[in-house]
This record gives sequence, C-alpha cells and structure tokens, in this order.
Amino acid sequence: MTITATGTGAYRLADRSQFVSMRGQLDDLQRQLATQKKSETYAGLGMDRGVSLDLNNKLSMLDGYLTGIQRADVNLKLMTKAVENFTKLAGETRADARPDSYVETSTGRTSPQVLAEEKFKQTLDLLNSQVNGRYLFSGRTSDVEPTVSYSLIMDGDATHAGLKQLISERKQADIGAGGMGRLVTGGAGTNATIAEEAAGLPYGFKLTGATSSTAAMTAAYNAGPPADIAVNVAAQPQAGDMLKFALTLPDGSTEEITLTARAAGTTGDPAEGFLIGVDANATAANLRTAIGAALSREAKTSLSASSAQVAAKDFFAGSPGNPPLRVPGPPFDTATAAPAPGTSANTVIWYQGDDAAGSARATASVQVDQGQQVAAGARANEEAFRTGLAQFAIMAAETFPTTDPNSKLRYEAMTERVRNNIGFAPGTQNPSEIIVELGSAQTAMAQAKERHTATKDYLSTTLAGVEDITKEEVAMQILALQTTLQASYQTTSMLSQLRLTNYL
Amino acid sequence: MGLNTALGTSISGLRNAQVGIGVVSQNVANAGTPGYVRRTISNVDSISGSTVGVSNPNVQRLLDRIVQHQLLQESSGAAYTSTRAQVFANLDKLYGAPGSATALDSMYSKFTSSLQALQNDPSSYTNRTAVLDAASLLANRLRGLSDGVQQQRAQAEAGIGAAVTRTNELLEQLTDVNARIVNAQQSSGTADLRDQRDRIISELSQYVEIRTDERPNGSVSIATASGTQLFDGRPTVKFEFDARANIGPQSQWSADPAQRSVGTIVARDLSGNSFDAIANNTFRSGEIGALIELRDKTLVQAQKQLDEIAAQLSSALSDREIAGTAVTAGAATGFDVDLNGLQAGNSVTLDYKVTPGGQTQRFTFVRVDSAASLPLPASAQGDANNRVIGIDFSGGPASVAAQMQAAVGPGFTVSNTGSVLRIVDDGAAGTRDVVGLTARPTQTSLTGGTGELPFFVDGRSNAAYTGSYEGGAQSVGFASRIAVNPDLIADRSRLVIYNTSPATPQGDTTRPNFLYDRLTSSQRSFTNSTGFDGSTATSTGTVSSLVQRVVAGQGQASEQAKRLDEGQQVAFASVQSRFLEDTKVNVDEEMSTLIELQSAYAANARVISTVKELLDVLMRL
Repeated sequence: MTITATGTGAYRLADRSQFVSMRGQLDDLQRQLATQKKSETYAGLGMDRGVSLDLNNKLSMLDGYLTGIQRADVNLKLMTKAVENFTKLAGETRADARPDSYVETSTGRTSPQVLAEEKFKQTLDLLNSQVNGRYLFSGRTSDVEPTVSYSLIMDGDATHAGLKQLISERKQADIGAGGMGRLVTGGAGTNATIAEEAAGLPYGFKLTGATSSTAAMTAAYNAGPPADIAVNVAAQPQAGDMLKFALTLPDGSTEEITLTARAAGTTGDPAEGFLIGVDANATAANLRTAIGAALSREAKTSLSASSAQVAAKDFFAGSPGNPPLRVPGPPFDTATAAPAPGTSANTVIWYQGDDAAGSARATASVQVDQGQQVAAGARANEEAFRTGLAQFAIMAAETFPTTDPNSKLRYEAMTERVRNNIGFAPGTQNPSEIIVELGSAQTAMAQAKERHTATKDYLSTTLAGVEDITKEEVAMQILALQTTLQASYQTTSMLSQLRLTNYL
Repeated sequence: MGLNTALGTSISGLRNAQVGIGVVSQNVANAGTPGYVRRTISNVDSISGSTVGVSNPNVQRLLDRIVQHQLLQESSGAAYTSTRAQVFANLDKLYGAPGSATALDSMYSKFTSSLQALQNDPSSYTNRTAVLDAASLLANRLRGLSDGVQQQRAQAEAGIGAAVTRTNELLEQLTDVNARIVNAQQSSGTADLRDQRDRIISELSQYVEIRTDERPNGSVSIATASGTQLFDGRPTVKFEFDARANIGPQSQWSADPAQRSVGTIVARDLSGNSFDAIANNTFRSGEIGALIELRDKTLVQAQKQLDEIAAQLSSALSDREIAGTAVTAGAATGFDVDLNGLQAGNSVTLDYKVTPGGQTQRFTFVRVDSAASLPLPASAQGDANNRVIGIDFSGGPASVAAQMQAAVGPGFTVSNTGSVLRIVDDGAAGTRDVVGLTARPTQTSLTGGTGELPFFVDGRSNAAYTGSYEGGAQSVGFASRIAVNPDLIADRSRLVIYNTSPATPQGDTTRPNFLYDRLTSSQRSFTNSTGFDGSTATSTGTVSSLVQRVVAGQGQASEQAKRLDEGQQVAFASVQSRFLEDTKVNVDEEMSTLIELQSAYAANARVISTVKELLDVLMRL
C-alpha cells in the first residue's frame, strides 16, 4: 500500500480502492469459512478447475456404480435365498417320495403328495418374488409376474387346458384304445406275437428285445419298424421256464415283463405267469392271455407314470414364445401324429416371463465398472426349476383311489420316477449351479464395491484439497488481513491528525 | 531609486501576496474536489519606467501533460477490462458453483448416472422417471444458460446504446466549455474551465479510447486511438445507434445491413456523410469497445459452445451409425452404404489412407436439400484431416455421387446403384486405400429396432435434431430450444422398448446400455466452432469430455478476464496516483505557502510603513 502525501487534509491513501479490496478479501475469506469452499465459480478455482470437473464426474460415476451394486445386492440375496429354499423343498420331496410309502387314503392322495402340492405352491411364490416391482425370476421382462397361479396351472380354465388335462391326454395316447400301450397281441396255434401298432408311433411302449430261458420256447425279436416279437412254443416248457420282453417307455425308462411257466393246477398272478397246458397249443393260448394281462397292467402302472412325466416335462417346457407340446386330438387314444405345440389360446402357459435365447444369467446385468458387467438375471423356467416343479406337480396331480387294484403299483412307479428326477441327474441343471453363479456375481460386486469405495475415498480427499479450504489457513489469512487492515486504519488515522493547521 | 519606487514595489508585492493568499484559500477549499488541479501563481518582474514591481500574477494549473495522456489511455483500458471481467464473472456464475447440484457438469453427470441406474434395472418406473427428470433438468439448464448468455448480450446492446448517447452528450458539453476557454484565453479565469474540460474528457475516455491535442489558442482536438476525429472545437461526428430489442442466438452483427439483426453504431460527420463505426473498428477499447466485443464475439462464442453441447447430446443419442459393407470391383476395394434415411444435416464419412502407410484421413459429406444452403457456413468447416463438404441431395442419387466424385478427386471412384453409394479406391495404382464408409442418419421415431432414439428434440418444431443447414444452421441457438422429446415423456417405456413387434421386454438393457455408452465412451467429432484454446481444428472426444471442456474453458476465460482487469486496475491506479501527486492539493504545502505569503505581506507592509516613517521624517524637516 502506497501512502502519498497528497489529498484531502494532510495524508490519505493514494488509492481508496485498496481499503475496499481488502474489505472484499475479508468478506471472501468469511464466505470461505462459512461455505468451506474455496470458490463459488470455476474461474476462482484457477488451474485446478480441470481436476475439480474431472473428479466430480468420476465421483458421480462411482456413486452410480455403488448405488447399482447396493440395489443389485438386495436382489441377489433374495434370489439366492429363494433358490436355497427351493433346493431344500426338492430335497424333502426326494426323501418323502419313497415307493413303499403308499397308504390307502379316502382322498386317494398320500401325505407326501399333499406336501408336494404345498411345495409346489411355495416354489411358485418364491419364483414370483419381487423387489420394488421388479420380478427377480422373469428375465428381461422384469415387469411380468413369471408364473401363473397354482389352480390355473393344474386345472386350467374354460378355454385353457391345464397340466391335469395334458397328463390325461398323454396317458390316453400312450395307453391306447386297446389298453396295452399301443401294442397289438396275436398269434394262433403255438405262436404268440406282440407288435407295435404302427411304425414310428410316438406313443406307448417300444419293444426292444425278447429272451427265452428254454429251447422249448423261442422268442424272436424283430426290430422292425414296427418292431415285433414272435414267440413259438415248439415244445412244452418246464415249470419255471421264463420268457422276458424288454420295453422302453416314453420317458426313456425301461421295463421288463417276465412271464414264468407254471405247472398245471397251480395258481399265480395272471400278469406274471402262464399255466402249462395239455399240449403246446394250449400252453401258447395261456401264454397269449398272460401277455395281454401283463401288458395291460404295465400300461396302467409304469406306462401311466411315464406318461405323466413326459406330459409334465412338456408342459413346463412351455413359454410364451414356445407353447407346450400337446397330443393331437381328440381322439387321443388313437393319435398317431407326434405331439405338436399348443397355442396360448387353448393351453395354459405357466411361465409368462422372458424366454429369449441365451443364458438366463445374462438377462439382467449390473454395471459395476466402466467395462465390467456382472450377470445377475434368473428365469423361473430354468431347467432346475422346471424339473422340480414338474415333479411336485406330478405328485400333486395324481390320485390313487382304493378301488383301483393297480393303485399301489402305479404309486410305486410314480414315486420311483419322481425320486430319480428330483435328484437332478448328472447332465441336467442343478439348483446349486444357480446358487454358485449368483454367488460369484455377488463376489464380483463385493470386490467392485470395495475397489470403488477405496477410490471414492481417495478422490473425495483429493477433491476436498482442490475445492475445500483449510480452516486453519483461512483463519490465519483472516488474522493477517485483520492486522494489516487495522494497522492501515491506525496509520491513516494518525497521519490525518498530523496537520500543519493544528500548529498554526 | 526613490522612496516612491520602493512604495510602488511594496504595493505590487502586497497585491501579489493577496492574490497568492486567494489561490491558497482556493486550493485548500477545493482539496477534496475531484478533478481539481492545484493552482500556483507565477510572478513576473516588471519594470515600467522607473518602477520595478511584481506584476501580472498569473494563476497556473500544475499538471504533467504526459501523465494526463497516459491517464486517459489507462482509463479507457480499465473501463474495457472491468466491463469484460464483470460480464465474464456473471457468465461464470451461470455455470454454477463447482460440485454443486446446479453446475452444468453436475447436471450432466446426474443424467449419465441415471442412465447407469436404468441399465441395472430397465423396467423400474422410478429409474425411467429419474432419467427423464435428469434429462429435463439438463435441457432446462442448457436453455437457462443460453438465455443467460443472450441476456448478457441484450444488456451489452443496451449498454452500447447508453454509452453512445453519453458520448454524444459529452461531446456537446465539450463544445461549450472549449469555446469559453478559447475566448478567455488571455484572462486568468481559464483554470476552472480547464478543470471542467478535463473532467469531461476523462469521462469520455472511459467510453472511447482517445488522444487529445491542445491547440495554441487553447482549443482541444480529440481523436480516437483508431484515428477518427471526434472533436475539433465542435463535435466532428455524431454517433447513432439503432438498438434492437429482441436479441437471440440468431441475432448477429454483419457489415451488410440486410443481414444484421443487432444494432450498429453509425458515425455521421458534419457534412452528413456516415460510416459504420463497428465495421471501421473505431471502438477498440473503452466501455463501448468491450461491449461490442462481448456482444459480437465472446458471448457468441459462449452460445456456440452451449449449442455444440446441445447438438452433440442430441445427435449422440439419435444418430445411427451404418457401417458400409466391403466390396471389390476388380482390383479396387471399397464400401457400399445405403444413403436411404439420411436427413438434411446428416453426414456420410469416408475414411481413407494415402498409401503406403499413411495416416487415416476423412471426408465428411453433409446432406443439404437445396443448392442455396451451399457452401456450408464457416463454423461447419473441418480441417486438413477432416474435410467437410456439403452435398446437395435435391438432384437424386446420381447427382450426389457426381458431387462426391468431384469433391474427392481422382484416386477414388464414386458410383451409385439407387440409393446405395459405392466408393472404391484406385485398385492397382495403390495411391488410396478406402478404410471405411459410414452413414449417420438420425433416428426420428422412438421405436424402430435400434438403440438410437430422438431423446432430445428441437423445441421449435418438436422434431428430431438433424443439424440441418436449410434456412440457416439448425445448430445456431439449439441450446435455447433443446427439450426432451414430449412423446418420450408421455410414454417413458420407450427408454427401453425399441421394438414393438416383437415387443422388447421391459427389462431389456440394449437401449439403456447404448445410450450410456454413446454419452460416456463413444468418440465424437466436435465442430471447430467451439474453438477451444483458440484452436480452430476439429477435435474428438466423448460428450462428457465436451461438457467438461466447455465449463473449464469458460472458467479459464473468466479467470483470464479477471486477471487482466486486476492488472489493468493496478496500472490505472499507479498512473492515477502519479497524476494525483502532481495535481492534488497538499494542505501542508499550502499552509507553508500561506506563512510565506503572510511574512511577505508583513514585510511589504513594513516597507510601506518604513517609507511612511521616512517621509514623515522628511516632512518634519
């Protein structure tokens, strides 16, 4: 500050604006203390403005990532929980569905079946979980509830066929009008034949082989198509001699029908053996009857259970873009054409979510970093869920009336298949795979979060260094300025007193 | 020498001391009057006959002419820098406080983070609303900034008007004062008039940078630093300013009156001839110079930067990139691209290498729909590595190919099959290699099987922004018209659903991913109108980096203006202080002069009384 000996009175500051500017500085420092910011404009930040802009942008991005991670974390935890619950339910059903657990009941349903129905409903609820209106198991269509209701799935409505209807249709088609799994039996004299109804028929039993334990009876298997078996009773068999016919069922399981020759006058299960007659012709006639009875019983038990498996599998494979396969008909029991997709107008489509090609995990993603997307989607129609739901549904749908003599065998056939399938055979998707995948997504997110939090802390500190004041520094500046200003005022005041006028 | 001589000399000494005391009293009384220049008296010895006296006490103003000239110059410089600094500070404030929610860059970041959130959960209504809210706020901010810039321009316009009126008034006042000084030249009363004239001239210097020249007769002549004579005994020019009321981004100054939409200053001389003072660059400094520069350059540039942000933001989200399909024609290789869908203002780029091993260079062809829109305005031009050429599409595809062929010259073969354009190199000759041919049509509907959508629209027509040059560049003032597409606000599911048949699932991330990438990682070419760091070359970067560069550039310019002003104020203050040292009244000095005069008066009186005593002695003899 220059003091010039000119001006009003004796002395005054050469530039009054010096006082004004010091006052201005003081006001600005005061503002800095109040706002804790160095400047109110980018101009005031000086060369650091670029740093400030860049850091603010980076922080905003990091905040975005962190918010995304936080939200997705909730979703992933809920999804994992749901899949874990489902795994538990499947495990329980596997334990429940023991073939020896058949108990006659007035309702025709055993307690494992009643439990399976509850589990089915519970699984549907799990798959319909939502967070903030977002369905977690609906893939890309996260606004659509992925599954329809239990009653619609099972019973359908006036225009849409439900699962029970589809199972029934499939059973009719497999068992056939003759009740022998679309096989035709015949023969005369010493011969007995079994043949498939038609070549390449997609329903019913498939003959895969025949053996005889004795040279007295020959069993010739002809692979066809259509495959057939011709048995010739060349000589009288001995009691205990056996004929075996191998059958493949629609669900891929195999059954073997064993017919044992019994001595005349003995009694036995008509579907498991035949009496040795007076001559080869009479024995053959008995054999023919036994074949009919055996096939008929097999059709009503294992074939029926197998049909239910196939129908349920087809039903749960259905999705909006790919309606479930149905047996063409009616009539169903004489159907020859392969199952064809139904339409959304006549068949219940249990899964309403996204069914585009590609991995279910890729249907939702979380941007956790500039170039890192974590896949965190899931769909209710993933194989593991479909398998589980189909088994629960079969258990829930079937009834075993006490009046039906085949109930026990049919129950055993059903539970055996349910047990096998709900154990998630190797080569099929296991729910634990989903849990592992979701878990790895969580891990990736946790790592990204840790990284971002550390970066954010560092950037915030740097930004504070650029934008924020140091209180001590500002306080010191204020003190220094105050001292200078006071000294200036004092000096000016003193100088103004020094006038020659006073001494004249 | 007789007693009479002594008596006469003493009497003149008394008179002189009286005048001196009078001047001292005037100096002391006017010590605080601004513009008052300290007076002194100069005494001249006179010998008339046998009388030696102190006569003709001449009252003079004490000042240094050189310092005064400097002061005039610095004062116009100070007015220039402080006007600029003021406007820049206002402009800088418009951009918002660093890191605050209202800062332009924060709003932009908020928009991108809302898209980021949408990526994570596209079906969420909250997220979609957040995107549209952030986009609306950003568009509002751009419009607000644009309005702010135009308001500053309107204020500059009004300021020029006021300054011109005041300049004319000052020149008129000067006429009167100047005439009186010339008339009173021989009398001693001109000091006050000169003070008054200096005050007028000093105020004038704040508006216009001037040089003054005093004639022997005391009259002053004034010319601007650029050489225009303003005053010579009377005003030689009168300034007229035709202020315009509605200043918008399109309002530009031009030497051609038909194209001018802001006011200009017309200087009219005594004979009625007139010239455009802005075109003649009459006002280089001073407040008027600063206001003209702000109105026609600085603020126009600020508007262009905002327009560029708005245009890039719009195009980034709405322009499809259709890469050409590779073709070979004999030995020549090149690309085919379908120009169908290209709108006025959309571009096709041809990337090529001058073989062997040259750097990739580019031709950018811009569609225009009439020959009247050619050539493209200077702001659209590219640089040596990216030549921008307007192509008139009104003549059909064959004419388009012909125009392109003419533009690229030999080394390329341009042909067309219907709307499909083919550009191949010169094959075996190997002087050119075509490395890419890309069409960039603007998506105009919200759905249509692609990630692009007209997210922002031009508020003038609610249609997508294409950057058209028909009837003036659409980019001019786009920042003041940018708005979020109302159709998108009405149906926000379009942020995700890009296709209606088959319908895109609500949770599909394709479009949100695309929008986010286009803003944060796609490299875009900025037109040279943005003029960062004084560079006129086109530059590339992401939209995010453009926003940051604009805000930083504005801060930089503002800081620079402030520093310049601070420097100028220091220079001004020091010249002022030097001037004051000479001209200001020092009361102490006056008091000592007073004592001096008092003793002189007493001494003279003593001489008279001595003479009287001597005469008395003589009488008593």
